[in-house]
Amino acid sequence: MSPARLLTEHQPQVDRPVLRVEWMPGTDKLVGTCHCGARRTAEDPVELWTWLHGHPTGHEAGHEVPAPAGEPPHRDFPDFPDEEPRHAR
Amino acid sequence: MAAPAPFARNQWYVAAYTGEVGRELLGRTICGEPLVLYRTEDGRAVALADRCVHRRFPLSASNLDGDRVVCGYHGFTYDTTGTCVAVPGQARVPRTARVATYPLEEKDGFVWVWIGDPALADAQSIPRAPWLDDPEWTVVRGMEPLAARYSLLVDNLLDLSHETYLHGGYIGTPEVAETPITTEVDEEAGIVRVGRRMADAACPPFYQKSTGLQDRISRWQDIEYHAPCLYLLHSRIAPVGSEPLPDGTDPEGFHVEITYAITPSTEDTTYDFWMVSRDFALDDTEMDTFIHDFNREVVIQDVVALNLLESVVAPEPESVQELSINIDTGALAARRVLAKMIEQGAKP
Repeated sequence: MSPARLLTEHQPQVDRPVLRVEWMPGTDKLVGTCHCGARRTAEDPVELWTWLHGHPTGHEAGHEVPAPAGEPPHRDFPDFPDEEPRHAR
Repeated sequence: MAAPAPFARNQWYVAAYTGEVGRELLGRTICGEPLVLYRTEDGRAVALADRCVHRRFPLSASNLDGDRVVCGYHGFTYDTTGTCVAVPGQARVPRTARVATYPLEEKDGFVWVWIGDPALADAQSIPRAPWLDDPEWTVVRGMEPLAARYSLLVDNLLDLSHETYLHGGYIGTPEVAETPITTEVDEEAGIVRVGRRMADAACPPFYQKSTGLQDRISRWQDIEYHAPCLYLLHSRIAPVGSEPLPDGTDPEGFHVEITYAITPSTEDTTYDFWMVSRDFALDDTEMDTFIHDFNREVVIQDVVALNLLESVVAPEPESVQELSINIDTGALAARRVLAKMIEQGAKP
């Protein structure tokens, strides 16, 4: 018996709202989809989860919500002194 | 890295495999709470607080008399409800002489205990892994103590790209780290799902030997993490191009259920319960031995790495931060779900 069937029998699967992040094949892009239908593309999972969990702030149901222009991707570490700046700050 | 996060209370945790709990007293510390587990003469499993009310002696280092635990230090005697029914040298048993009992359920070969307010314990909320107790599956299992905070094991299991590097030559191949993932979070249920479907991948030694497939394979890794404790990895291995049939059967697919119970013991130690279930070669005992020993090697590779990681992150100041990239999408989601559970469990 397949695991899916086993699980369904023991633990009925309920259709519940989910947050989804898809990593687009062949790219570094992540596409986040909120349970409200709003979508956003990003290259940083921290930023994307923050946006998804921030529902409804900045969400427009069923629409692609662009990342704010000029917003640098999230970076946890400070730049190293000898490193070329990657993003305008 | 920050200090270890507190535990998520008001949750079910795996304390033991059912076979570990018997007529010998078993001590396990779950979420910082010392428990003693045993089975009554009629086979019912019991979990009590593992400290005698008198002088705090561990009851797990004591004795069973029928269904009662007799403290090995001064003889305080407790029944299955945790009530002290006898003390030495006097007839009167102080009214406050009792130890806590823990709600306990046995499902799918696990002994689950509820850590938190007993009034909130609902057995229906225990996540299931029915193949662990199903004659159509063969299971091998083990448990390795981890000298690391449980969140490091959650991070590890939610990001399987580490298989390519930490478990290369065992279960890892380049395709694991190269293949994009899809992550879903059901916040209300506390479930994180991470899917990685490799259409054309090298077959790692673990699956070459267990399935007999030597050429390139289709490899699916579908994770379901039921926070905080149960981790399910539905693994499907098949010849390239093979798909399950429309009727749901999958005659060309080999199915392996990798199951973990991630049980926090103390702030920096964890019980790493691991199981491998298969739906093929069910009666092959040589296969049992191979899968058990091989998988244990893989688990030990993780244990060594995570113990090392704990030793370096523990003394680091709070200001030290990490860097997250696409492969971390699932682990980041799990951290968020756990943080929410910890917050909810801390409410009075």
